[in-house]
Amino acid sequence: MAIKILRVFFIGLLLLQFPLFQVVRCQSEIEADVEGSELGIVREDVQDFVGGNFKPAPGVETICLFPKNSAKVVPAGEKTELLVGMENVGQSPLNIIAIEASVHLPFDHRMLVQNLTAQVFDNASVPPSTQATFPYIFAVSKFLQPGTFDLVGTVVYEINQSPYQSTFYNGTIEVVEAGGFVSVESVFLVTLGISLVVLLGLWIHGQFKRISQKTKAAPKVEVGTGTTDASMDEWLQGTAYNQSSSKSKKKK
Amino acid sequence: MARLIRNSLMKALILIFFASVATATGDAPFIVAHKKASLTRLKSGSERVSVSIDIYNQGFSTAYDVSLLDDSWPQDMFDIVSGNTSRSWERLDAGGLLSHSFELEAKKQGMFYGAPAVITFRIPTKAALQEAYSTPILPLDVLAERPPEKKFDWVKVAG
Repeated sequence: MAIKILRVFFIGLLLLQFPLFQVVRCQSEIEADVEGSELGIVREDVQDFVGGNFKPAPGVETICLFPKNSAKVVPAGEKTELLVGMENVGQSPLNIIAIEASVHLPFDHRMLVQNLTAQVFDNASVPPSTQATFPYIFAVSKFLQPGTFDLVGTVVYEINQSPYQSTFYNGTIEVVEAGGFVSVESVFLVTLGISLVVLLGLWIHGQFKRISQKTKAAPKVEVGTGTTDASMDEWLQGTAYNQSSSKSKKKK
Repeated sequence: MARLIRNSLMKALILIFFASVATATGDAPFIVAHKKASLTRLKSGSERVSVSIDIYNQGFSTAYDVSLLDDSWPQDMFDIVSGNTSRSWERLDAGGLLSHSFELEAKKQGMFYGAPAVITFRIPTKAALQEAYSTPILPLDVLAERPPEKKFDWVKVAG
């Protein structure tokens, strides 16, 4: 009866909550002001170049490398470093202006998730027939959900006062939650798991006991310390009980 | 009919594969060098700079006679404590990694802006020595004045 009432109560509670449910909507555009690191004094005309769309120069090769991070794991909210390799196959020196990057959704490239802070360079140049490496340290928003995202990284440079832009990386990154192995959620889950296993074990143990009791013979009925042997009833000699039994014996 | 289509598809795929391999960017090594410098303040008050340089070959062929030279630490500001600022290796295969590290002791106080290290190597197709630069390092605040230790405040409170 009590269980029935409980069942009805819980179903009623569930039904009552339906109108209060709200689908979780996530922001598709998070413009965060992430800290970048500057290597020197900033050029005055940098703003003209950063954010513009220029073509890549012929004879310039770029490569992207995540040092000691071949899985391209990016902890949300923490600094990640990547190296941009530039090779100047041309005849004139190349001046690096800035490196910028942005994070997009993997299935729809037009959906921008976050614009990462551009790193501007003051005096970075690559002489002809030389390769050079430049670091780019970035951090995605710490509220970004873990998952696969698209990272597009471009480097803006100039050769003979003409600006050019090359994409050095256009691929996926794995955003993971920053934080150690021990957290409130993990401790709670582990304790819950252990307790469920223990409860299951106890229940199985109880079932075993029940089954083993059934297969035994009929349980012994406790009769107390006395016996029903008539010859042991010495103390009843001469009493009404004895006389009645002897009478019934005589009748037989 | 299906077999014919499958065969021609296979041939087309193989053709595309070979074409893509042929147009892949170059067959030369691409040296990416990562230079890191960190400051450690010893108990004696002196400051040590630990420099480590990782050289990756992200290209498609081997680089021979790889030689690293880091001349960006002037003698009047730094003393070499352990290791050497230059080193050479016989080869660096495509996809390989070479590491080198050394330690310096700082002599002069101030901001230090380090230049990149230079890596030279040879490739079979060119006679001239190839050059590559490592990443520059962030400015180092050498022998900076640290704020006074908090533990002296505890003594004041207790006393």
